[in-house]
Amino acid sequence: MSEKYDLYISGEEEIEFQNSSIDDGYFLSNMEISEDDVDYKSLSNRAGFTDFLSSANKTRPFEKVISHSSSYFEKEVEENELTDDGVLNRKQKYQYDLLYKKLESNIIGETQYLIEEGIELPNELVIDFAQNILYFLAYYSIYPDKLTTTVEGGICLIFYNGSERMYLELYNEGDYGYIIEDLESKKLKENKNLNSLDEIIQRLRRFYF
Amino acid sequence: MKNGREKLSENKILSFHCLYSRHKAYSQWEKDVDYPDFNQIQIDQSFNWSAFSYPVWTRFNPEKEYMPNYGIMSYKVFTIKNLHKYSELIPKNSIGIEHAPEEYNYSHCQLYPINSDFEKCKINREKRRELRHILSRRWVKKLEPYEEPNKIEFLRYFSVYIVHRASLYFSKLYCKKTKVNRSFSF
Repeated sequence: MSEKYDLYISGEEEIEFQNSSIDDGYFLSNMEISEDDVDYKSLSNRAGFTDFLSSANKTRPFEKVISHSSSYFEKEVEENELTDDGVLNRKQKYQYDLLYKKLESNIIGETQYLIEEGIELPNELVIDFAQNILYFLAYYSIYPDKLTTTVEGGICLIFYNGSERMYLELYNEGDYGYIIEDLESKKLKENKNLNSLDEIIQRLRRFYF
Repeated sequence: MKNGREKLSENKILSFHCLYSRHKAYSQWEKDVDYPDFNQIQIDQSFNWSAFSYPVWTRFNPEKEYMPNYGIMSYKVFTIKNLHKYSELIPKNSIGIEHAPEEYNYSHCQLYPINSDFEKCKINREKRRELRHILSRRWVKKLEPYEEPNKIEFLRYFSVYIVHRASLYFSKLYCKKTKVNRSFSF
C-alpha cells in the first residue's frame, strides 16, 4: 500500500509525507480528536495552518497525526530561519536529516548481525514512524544520542540527560515503550508502555525539561 | 560438537554453573560506554554452558569462524533461576533454561518462558523489558568486543570448566545412585 498525504501549511507551502506502509489509523488507534482539541485560530496565526483542520475527524491518518500534534507547533520560530517545510528552522532540519541518515545507515550496518542471530529486522512501518518521531522531536530541538535496532524487533532511540538514560523502543508490531535507567546505580527508574505519538513526545519533553 | 550425545535435563544445569552469551555492539557503541546495551538482550537468549564450553567459544559461528567483534557475557545460573528476586513484575518460575544442543555446539542452552507471561506480544512488553534490563546489568564477568582474555584469565576459565564438568559428572552419578536406591525400595 503506498499513499501520499499532503499537508498544507501557510496556504502555499507544502509538506509531503511519503507514507509507504501505514494502514489507516494503525498508529492512531488511541488518537481521537474532538473539535475542542484543536485551537484553529491560534494555529492559523502561529503556523499558518489552513482550515483543513476543521475536518480533522474525517481526515486520513497522517493528517490526524499532524492535527493532533498541533500543540507541538507552539514554539515561535524566526521566519527567516525557517526551511522550506515551514516548521523546522535550518539547524533543526539539518539535525533531523543527519539523524535520519544515521538511522538508515545503522539499520543497514546491523542487518547482517540481526539475520545471523535470527532477529526480526525493523519493518517499513516502524522506520516511517521513527522518522516522524525524529521530525517532531527536532521541532523541540530534542535529538536522540544514539539510534539503533532492538533485538525485540524494531528500533531503539537512546537519550541521555544528566544521570539518566532513556531507551525508547519502537516495535515492528506498532506498539512502543520505554525504560529510564539511572546511570550510576544501573537501576531501573521507570518502565512503561506508551500509546500514542503524543505521549512519546510529551514524555520526552518531560525527560529533558 | 554434539557427537551423538544426548540432551541433558534442566536440573543438570546447577546453580553455580555459568552461562556465556555473545552480543555484538550496536553501530554507535563506543569503548568505555556500557556494554552490552539493554536493546541487545533477548528473552530467548542463547548461551553456552560452562560445563562444556569456554567463554571465548561463543565467538565461533556455525561456520567455525572466530568473530572477535562480539563481546561475551557470563551469567550465574543462580541469577537466571532467581530473576523474580530482582523485580516484582517477574513471577517466580517464569523463565527456564533448556539444554538445546546443536550439531556444532553441544553446550548450547536457551532461555524459554515457562508460562505465557513472557510470550512476545503487546501485553507482555513491560515484563519483557524488565527482564531484559535485569539481564543486561546482572552479569558476573564480561569481555568487551575485541577484548581477548589474558593467560591468567584463560587459566581461570580452564579451572571453571574442569570444576563445572566434574560437578556435572558427580550430579549425574548421584542421580543414578538415587534411582537405583529407589528401584530397590520398590
